[in-house]
Amino acid sequence: MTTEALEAWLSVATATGLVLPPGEMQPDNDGGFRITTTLAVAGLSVGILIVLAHDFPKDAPLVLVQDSQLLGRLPHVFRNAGVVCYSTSEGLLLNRQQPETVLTWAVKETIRTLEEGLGTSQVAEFMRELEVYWRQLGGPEVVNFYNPSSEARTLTSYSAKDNLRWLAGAEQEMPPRHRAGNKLLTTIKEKATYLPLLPGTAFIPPAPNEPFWTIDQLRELVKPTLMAIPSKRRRQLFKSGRDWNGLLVLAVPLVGHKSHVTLLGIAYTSLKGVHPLGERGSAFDLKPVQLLRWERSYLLPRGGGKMSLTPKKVLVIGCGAIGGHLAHELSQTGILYLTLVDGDRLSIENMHRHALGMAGVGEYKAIALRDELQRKYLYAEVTAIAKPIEQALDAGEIQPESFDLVIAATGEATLERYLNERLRAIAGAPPVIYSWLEPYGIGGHALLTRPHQAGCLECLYTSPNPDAPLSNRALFAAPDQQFSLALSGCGSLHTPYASLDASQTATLAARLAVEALTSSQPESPLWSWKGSDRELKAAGFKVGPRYKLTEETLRRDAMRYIAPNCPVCAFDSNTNAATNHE
Amino acid sequence: MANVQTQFDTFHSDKKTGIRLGRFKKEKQLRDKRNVIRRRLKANLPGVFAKYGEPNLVPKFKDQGSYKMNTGIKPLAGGSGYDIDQGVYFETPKDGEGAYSPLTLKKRVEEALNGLTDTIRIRRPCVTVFYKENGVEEAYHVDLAIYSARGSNSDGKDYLAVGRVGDSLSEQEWKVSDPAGLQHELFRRFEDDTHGRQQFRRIMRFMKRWKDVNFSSAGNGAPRGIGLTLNAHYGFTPTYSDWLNRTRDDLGALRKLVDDMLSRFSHQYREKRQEWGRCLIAKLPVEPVSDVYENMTLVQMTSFETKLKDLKAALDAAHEESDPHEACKGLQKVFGSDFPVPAKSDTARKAAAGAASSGLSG
Ligand SMILES: [Mg+2]
Ligand SMILES: [Zn+2]
Repeated sequence: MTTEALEAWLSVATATGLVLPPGEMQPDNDGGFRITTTLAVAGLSVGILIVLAHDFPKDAPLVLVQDSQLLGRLPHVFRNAGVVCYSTSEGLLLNRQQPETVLTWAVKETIRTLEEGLGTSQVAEFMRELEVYWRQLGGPEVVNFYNPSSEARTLTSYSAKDNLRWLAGAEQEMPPRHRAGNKLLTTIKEKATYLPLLPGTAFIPPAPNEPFWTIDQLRELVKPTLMAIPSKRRRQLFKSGRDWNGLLVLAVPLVGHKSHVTLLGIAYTSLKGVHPLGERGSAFDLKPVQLLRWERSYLLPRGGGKMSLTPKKVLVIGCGAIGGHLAHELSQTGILYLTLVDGDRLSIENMHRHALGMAGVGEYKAIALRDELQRKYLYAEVTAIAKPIEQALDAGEIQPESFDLVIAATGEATLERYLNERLRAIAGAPPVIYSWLEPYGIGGHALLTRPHQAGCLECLYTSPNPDAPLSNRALFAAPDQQFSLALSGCGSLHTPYASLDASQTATLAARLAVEALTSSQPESPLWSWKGSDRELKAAGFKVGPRYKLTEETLRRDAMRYIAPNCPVCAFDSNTNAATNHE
Repeated sequence: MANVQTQFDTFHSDKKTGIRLGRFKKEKQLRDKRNVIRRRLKANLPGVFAKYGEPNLVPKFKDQGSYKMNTGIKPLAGGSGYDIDQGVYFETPKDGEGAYSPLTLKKRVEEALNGLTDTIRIRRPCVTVFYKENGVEEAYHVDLAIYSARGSNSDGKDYLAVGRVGDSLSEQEWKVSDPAGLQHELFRRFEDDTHGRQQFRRIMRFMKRWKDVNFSSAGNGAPRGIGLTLNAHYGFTPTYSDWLNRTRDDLGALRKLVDDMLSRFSHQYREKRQEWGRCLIAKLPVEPVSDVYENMTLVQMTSFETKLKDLKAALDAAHEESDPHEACKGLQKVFGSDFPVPAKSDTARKAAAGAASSGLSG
């Protein structure tokens, strides 16, 4: 904005009563502007400073309250500089073409925010942003792994070397790397008390420039909550004796949310060794503690994961280009229990199209992928079996029936047809997804199969024409074409496809997996994604008839692959499902 | 189960022996004739109307029938020959003041074409221009369907002039008719299904050829082509041996259609003939929503059903037969000598390959 435009805005704002005179405008050293003026807020005159950055209106203007008496006493006005939090920056669209409207909006929002803060909703406003105000109090950080519940209970607080501290209810709640079995951690345990406050509990949090709560203030605050707990239970929770140090965790229901809470940490020191929430004792030292929300019930949904998926166990057979991307996708949806099977090591030629990249080269893919996933995803519990699947099955190392889902992405058609037959014969076998991709970016596929339901991998190899060459009917490329290139002798065949193709196929398979695991997909569909045939044709290969179908037709055809004369599923399925001849 | 799709493909599409009437080859001759007729009518009609002291009516033309729908087949030698159907629309009301009787309007058309060929005949539903070829008197023909156009009628509908010379006024009729609407109804369900639409057309052509081979063309002995088309409309479902790749299974589709037609034969009242009897109905899905088989006698209906049963038996036998040679010999009996029969040696089973390229990766 130009000086003239700003002056024009200020004189209009003054004339219309948006701001009170006198108003003053000055350029600052950074090429921006500062406007000093006064607002009429609920009968008070509040001096403010509006700061416009040099690139305004790329960002909303900063508004600061100049009146020290109001500082820190109002919700949304922050102690450090009096910054008024009049709007969230997330999801905001500013009218860049008309910057003066942005200024007017900022001033109006500031007035509204201050008026609400001065009004009857003051406490409610503080409660809404409780976590922000608590953070301003500072104090040591403790990682929370406890999934908040509605019952008061005792937790354990752990301290390890490097000042690492965390909090959990049970061993299983903690990520694998924090558990007792991890030799890297030498831990000291302390008692912690978790207390969910009654819904409707409201208070103004301590201001950063004031003394923290006293024991009486704290007791007053939690009194109604404590009264609602049976006295016998109270005595168990707040036993006296040998309780010199500890941690209190107050779970404050978030206004307007059923299950969300704000966690406030308070460290206590008790001179007499009694619990601060017991009835006795008055010599306590209370200090604020910052709880870091690392618990799974908070983190997994934040990442877009589905909590219903977290207990699911998935067996991934094949940790190549598809399997590597797929295992990542599954972890990111919140599936924590993965078992990876692959007997091969990652070769340097596949470095670029494998999710592990150089980190996995030379390593067993299953093991390197397990380590990568456990490093990346706090809660991932990954088992690696670095041997061929048939060996692992023969040795009884894998019980397919103990999984909720099996996904095979080995790229070995013969092996997978064998697996299809073998897995379907196992009593209590889970659904199996087979996923594969085609060369030159022409497409990829994922097939969900269920034991005792018509539709299996063998259906795709069951041709109506006995003279047709053996091939997978879902393929977009014409059958029986030799795509692999011997780049360096026949020992190292290379099939041309890119990481993007593998990851798109993995995404398709992962979506199908989520549908299968959440029961939103009761059928056994074949899903395919279709890419461009440009590269395939340029390389001198042909597409088959299926490639010419539209995406919509492919979607509609999802169940049309079932072969009524399939030698595997036609007899073991107990439903008389859809056949080719509807 | 033998695979005879190759033979159905040849029977349908082979350039020499296939039954499909290409829209751009043999029909060029018909289209040329049609264009000559269009020009002739435009040139001569003003004079004809003037001669009778009638206001001039400028005709509008629309293709219709199997040519328009692309379901035409080549005629059998000695049959009625190739034809093309042409709609001729006049802005004149079907009734009220100044209305023509159907026959009078057809006579004006006939007169305007006078001398174009040796034979021009007014038939009940049309005015037909016959052409000679290689000494055959009526080798092919153009059927002109004459309409009172919707713009001139208070109900906004097109009416077909029905009546031939010698019909009394009460025997003549302006009959509501909507060939474009019919075509829309027939093909609507295949709007985004190329494979289904193509198979629908193939199956209609097979049924028409079956009719030509198995019925004498005289009179109403044979079910009308439009009737078979409607039976297919109600009884056809796209059928593939491999849905994923839309691998055609015309034998399967025919079996389903014929089964469907046979299952619809029943004892019912026939409005037009005012009789009860066992029959198949082919109801127009557009106005006048009549049964296009309404003129067939019960004796003809019985013969129709018997021949359909023979067709079913032949199709079923071909389905059961494992040798394509034998299967096609049976099919040739119902579809005629244009249906190809592969030599025995062509059909020996190839030994299955022990391995092929999988074409996939993981
Ligand atoms: Mg005709
Ligand atoms: Zn199957």
